[in-house]
Amino acid sequence: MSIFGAAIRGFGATLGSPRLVIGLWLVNLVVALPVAGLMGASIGSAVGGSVVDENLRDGFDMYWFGEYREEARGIETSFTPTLTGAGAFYNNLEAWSNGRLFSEYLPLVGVGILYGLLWSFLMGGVLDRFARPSESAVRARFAQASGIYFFRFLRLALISAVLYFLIFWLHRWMFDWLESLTRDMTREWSVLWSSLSVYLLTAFLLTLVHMSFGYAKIATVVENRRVMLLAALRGLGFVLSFPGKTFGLYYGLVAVGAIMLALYSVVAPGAGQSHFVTIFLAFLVGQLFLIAKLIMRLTLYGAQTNLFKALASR
Amino acid sequence: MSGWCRAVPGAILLLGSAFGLAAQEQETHPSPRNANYTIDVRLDPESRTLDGHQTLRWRNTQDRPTDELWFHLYWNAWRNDRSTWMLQRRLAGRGDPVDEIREEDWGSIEVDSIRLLSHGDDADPRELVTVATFAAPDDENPHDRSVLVVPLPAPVGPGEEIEVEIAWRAKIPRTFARTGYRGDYYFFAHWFPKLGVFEGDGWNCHQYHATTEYYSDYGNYRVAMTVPEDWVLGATGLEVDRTANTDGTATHFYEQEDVHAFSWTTSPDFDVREARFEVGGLPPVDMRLLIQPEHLGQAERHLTATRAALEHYGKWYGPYPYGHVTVIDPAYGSGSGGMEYPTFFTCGTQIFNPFGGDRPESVTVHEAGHQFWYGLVGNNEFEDAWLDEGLNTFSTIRTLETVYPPRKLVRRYVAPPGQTSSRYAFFPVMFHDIEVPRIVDRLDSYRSSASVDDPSTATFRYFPETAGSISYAKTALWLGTLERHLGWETLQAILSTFFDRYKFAHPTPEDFFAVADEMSGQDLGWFFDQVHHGSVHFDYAIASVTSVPAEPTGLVERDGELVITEAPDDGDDGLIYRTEVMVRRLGGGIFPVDILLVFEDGQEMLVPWSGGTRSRLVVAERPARLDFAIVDPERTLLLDLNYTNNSRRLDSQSAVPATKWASKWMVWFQDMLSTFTFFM
Repeated sequence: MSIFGAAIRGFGATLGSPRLVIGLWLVNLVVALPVAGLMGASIGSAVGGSVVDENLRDGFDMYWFGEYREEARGIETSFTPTLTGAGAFYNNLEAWSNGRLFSEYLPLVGVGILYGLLWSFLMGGVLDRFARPSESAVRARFAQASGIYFFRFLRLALISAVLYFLIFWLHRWMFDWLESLTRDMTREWSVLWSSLSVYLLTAFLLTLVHMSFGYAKIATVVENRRVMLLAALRGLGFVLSFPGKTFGLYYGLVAVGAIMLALYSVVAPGAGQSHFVTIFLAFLVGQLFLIAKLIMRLTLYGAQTNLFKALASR
Repeated sequence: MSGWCRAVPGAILLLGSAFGLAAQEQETHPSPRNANYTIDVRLDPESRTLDGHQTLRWRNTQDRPTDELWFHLYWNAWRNDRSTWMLQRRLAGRGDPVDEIREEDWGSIEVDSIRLLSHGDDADPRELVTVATFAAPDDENPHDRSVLVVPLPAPVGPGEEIEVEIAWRAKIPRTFARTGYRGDYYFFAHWFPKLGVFEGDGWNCHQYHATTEYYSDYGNYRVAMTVPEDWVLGATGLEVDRTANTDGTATHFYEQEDVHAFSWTTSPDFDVREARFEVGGLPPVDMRLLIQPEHLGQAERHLTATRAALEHYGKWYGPYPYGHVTVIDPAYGSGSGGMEYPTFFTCGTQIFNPFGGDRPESVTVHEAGHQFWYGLVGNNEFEDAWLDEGLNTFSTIRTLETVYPPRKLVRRYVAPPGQTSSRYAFFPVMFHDIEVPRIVDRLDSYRSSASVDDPSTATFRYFPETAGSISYAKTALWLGTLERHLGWETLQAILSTFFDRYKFAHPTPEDFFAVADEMSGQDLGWFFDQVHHGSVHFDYAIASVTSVPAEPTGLVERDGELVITEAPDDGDDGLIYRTEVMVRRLGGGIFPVDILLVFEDGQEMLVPWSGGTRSRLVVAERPARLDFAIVDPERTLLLDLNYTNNSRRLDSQSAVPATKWASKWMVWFQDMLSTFTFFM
């Protein structure tokens, strides 16, 4: 099976499961909504009856933000005007790449982990559906598969967590080393390329682990594996056995995602919505991008499942 | 001995003679020219050392004699971890600096010889370094060697001149306080034994502190700098000669009159761009920009910003008199950006810096502006740093607001090694529809330390880490407040008079306050007592608003009888509403403010208030309900720490902005949740 063929099949499988896409999006929405409600209450309270509401409605008010930031506690510390438009996604991408996702937004890490567990639970059903598309009684089977694979995926997650921790430790170590290496460099370009090399290496290692454990999950579902250490090795072995196809598929879809982000950066609404209708439309654009990201991610899982099924027996 | 001192020994005597005439000719010079240096220095890049020889001709301008000379040896602040500078850096909460410092990073300066060449008609060429001692007048730190006291064989009387010859060696540090090296980039500030200022109370020669800068007398500098032949060099003043030496080095001869410091930089990498500032009514200035090759695309932005400062400071306060200025774009990571020296200053930019953000424009205007506030008006930065930093920060913001479009929000991504802040990250993203008023940074900086220190405290005694927020931010905020209170014409008259009266001199805060009173025609002591001699904070607020039909509800006497009345409908035509607005002064600071009431029919009511009492109730009876009330509607009082509470609507309208920004936050949070799942 070619990379392109796998991608098309994955895409087709995803589009062929609109309820799956909508369902996963709704789960994401429902988990985020109450926390966003708290944030909204906090902003509303900070604005109070003040006439700064006009500035915040028509755009933003950096004077107000300075006062808000001074008093911010808990989740309030994560609020910044730079999450406007594509900034929201850049912020997360950077936090993902340097491991600060877990330290910078500490008050939200608990919710993030809970959501991660929920996602792990649902992944059993998702992969089962991609692995066995012809099975009947889809809804019941989805729940059953989610339950069957949840604890197995949890064990895989624990193993991968060790690797991710090591990668971020290595990232920090490399940066310390790089700081020492570049301390006499007087050209920003030299430091920039050196830094990018470290970021790219970190990203490569992160995606390698992510890809390997993705195939480990697929192997768990397709081959009904129960020993997760062996499943992890199976995933890694599969990636290394077919590096061209596995890496090609993964990074091909990452490239599509990057193009999507670039396009979103162009069309993403800024800070100018001043009525509920336009606020909702801006929110909708953000949701559409989130759904598009979700589709890309499911496409990746579907494509990887197809690739695994096609190549694993060789 | 080399350069001028070696090649033309008579030159020093001639120069000395020339300076000897200075006392008589003082009237014709812009500055007193009482501390004049001739320096010959050689850079050895291999050993990272400087070898220097200097003669100092100093005249006692006070009406009392002195039998000592006090010198700053600034580089000894980085001799080891026990210096006052290092201790203060640690206290400032920046971690233990020693953790980051390698053995070869330390810097120091050693004085090998001090000889008195002349003292009037007498000369006593005894070696004085053997009787010199280190002093620590500020904290008695026995480990601090940043001040050297040299006893003289005989007192120097009022008006008398002496000439001293000093030989010294310095180990160049890896950059501390803008000074040092990175790779083959070198920056030298306060690098030679530099005399303190002899004043009414004696020698004013403070130790080097982590949060303060400098104070010196004006004079003439002739400096010969020997560096590798193919290296580019920039310095205070103008190059008058250059000689190629047989050992692969070149000696650059620079001169500058009427300045109080001399700094220089050298590197093989600089590109040079030259331009001329010419604006009607102001003297022309030749601008020489030494720029990193990777920033050549931003050369014009540096020059434009320099022009902006020279033009607006020149027109507002007084002309820049030197005729030349050297602008330095420092090497990446050198730590020498954003600093001012006479006729010479450093900026700082990055490869990717979209126009409309902050740098390089803001730092360039600021440091160019220091040519006026610090270079020409030479206040004591150890004790009253706010006088230059505050006045200059205010002027910088005013210049930027005049010349450039509103600043946009920029967030930078992908931080380089050693940086956790996004400030120096490589890739900027500009948020075009979010403006960041330039004063807002200062307000944010001031807010967190508003009550920590009185600005009248000597700067070197400020609580660690508050120097910036007090000297820069608070001063800029109260100057902005004065501008709005008195009007720009009055404030400009204050600043230009202060500039004109104290250029080439050492003014004190009291001098500034006296000029302010004089030019404003009023006693501003009430204001300066609060913002300078105190640390009160300002916060006015609308505590409550009500607007109800004026007709009483309940038992009302009508035609001699008690009747029960019911509350009328708000929709009734012809109703009179009684509006009550309670305004409070939550901070200790007092400032006259207006209270504006805006009614639903668009009518307005403006009530002036002295702001002195803790609260003020404003009552109005109008044929319309109140829409909102606001205290200090023009935002005259920039020092108000919480402006959000300055206004209140009768009916809160926070729902729309809260929904809008929470929804944007939610999109970010949803994506963050999704990012979390990457690791599951």
